[in-house]
Amino acid sequence: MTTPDLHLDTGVLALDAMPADEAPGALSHALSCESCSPELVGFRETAALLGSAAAEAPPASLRRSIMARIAVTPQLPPVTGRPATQVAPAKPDRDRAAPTPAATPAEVSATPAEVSATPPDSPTQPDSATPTESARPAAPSADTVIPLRRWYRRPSALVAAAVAALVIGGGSVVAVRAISGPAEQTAQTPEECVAQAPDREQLTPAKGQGTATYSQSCNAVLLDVTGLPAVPADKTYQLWAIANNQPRSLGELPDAAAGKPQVVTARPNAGETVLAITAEPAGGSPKPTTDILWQATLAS
Amino acid sequence: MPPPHSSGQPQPGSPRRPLTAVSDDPAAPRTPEDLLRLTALGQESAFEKLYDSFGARVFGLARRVVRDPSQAEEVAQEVFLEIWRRASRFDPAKGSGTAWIMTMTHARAVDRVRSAQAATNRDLKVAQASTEREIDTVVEAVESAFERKAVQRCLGTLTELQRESITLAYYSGYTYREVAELLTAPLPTIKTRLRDGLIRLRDCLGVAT
Repeated sequence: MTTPDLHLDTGVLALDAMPADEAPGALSHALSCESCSPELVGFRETAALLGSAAAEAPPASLRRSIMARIAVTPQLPPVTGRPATQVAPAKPDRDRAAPTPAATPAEVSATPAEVSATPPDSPTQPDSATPTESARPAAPSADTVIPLRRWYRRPSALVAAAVAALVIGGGSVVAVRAISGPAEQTAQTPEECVAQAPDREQLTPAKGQGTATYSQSCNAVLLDVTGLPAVPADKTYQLWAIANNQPRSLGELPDAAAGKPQVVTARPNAGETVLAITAEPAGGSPKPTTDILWQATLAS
Repeated sequence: MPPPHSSGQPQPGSPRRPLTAVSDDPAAPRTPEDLLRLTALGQESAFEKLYDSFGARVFGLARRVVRDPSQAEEVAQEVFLEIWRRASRFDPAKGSGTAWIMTMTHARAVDRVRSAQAATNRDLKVAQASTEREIDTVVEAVESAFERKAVQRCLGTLTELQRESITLAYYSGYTYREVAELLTAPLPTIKTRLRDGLIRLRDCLGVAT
């Protein structure tokens, strides 16, 4: 492989599309190459958005099983004193084949040791990237990571037993959530409220693109005004709530004005049944001065 | 027009105040980075909030890659347990919390789909995908709706070949060699397409670099 090729590898790496046998070389180049490293970071952010676009509501059982499992899963201590080291990644499928319940206590106690026991094979690599790169190419150093993997991959039977104990032992899981519930209520933002509101409804804008999600019980609307074109620097977008043709400014939309996606939370007052966006001079206007570019009507 | 509420919400009186998605209660941390930090301190409520905002994305991406919903559920569970365990290792200087979580998710899903066993299942394309299941209504995809739209729009700005290559690599979990084979293109060409496509996507999506 030639050097120019290596410079092209950032895309392949960010998409997890590097075959295992090529990954170590490509990665070490990407991390040492001055232009590649930030590019890789930006590509990962980009890929994260690609991934987000695939969002799909999970089954309700997932939350329960995850919350039950974290209740019995210790956490790794922070790394101190030196850059994040390469911590052995988890390789679910392989270890799962041979669960070794007897090994678990040792694994538990071995947790703090994993940091120092694992060679910092790529000190400049953000720990965040660990699952991607280190996982597949890690085969040669498998010896050093087995304990951790095992620990991470606790034999599922054991975990299942612990979870069962937890649930049988008086609904502990539920209790935990009940305790945390009220606190979350008080800290809830309009955004969260809308996201969780049973009465939320999707409004189709009468004008313009994007979506609006309205919840009467939250008295809030979540607007997605993606699709508004960027405006010159001396202009901005301004959001209005309108009641009986009386517009009230809800503020500017700086991101949308810059041509970026913007989600806003609007809090309509009683009687305000229309949300609208206009283009205004930078700094905003006390009243709309141009035609409405985007408009959605709240359920009457 | 009735008099404005004095609900304690930021209101019209402050027109210069940019409207951003979150703003009302500074005491309530809610960026993914904040939630990861609190999760690292062992706060289950913070972790649960992370689940609420990322559950749909993690599960959805896993599902897109591994296809089988029950395997996707396993992957999502692994990812969240890893988030819980490794929250202390998240370093905000090295990228966003979202990227950390989604990178982890994708890597896990791809691991799964590339393992021999999954390879067989994958061909089955699991048609029982939409068997009735109880959906978690708390986990919300509202935030994702706009991302989805932006991503779709930006994918539309790619050349057909860039889009195909990226889709096969990212959503189907193929290696670039497999992509090259599927599209009967030389390996360097595929690498270039993936990179050029990502550059265009990155710029279109306004990802800060």
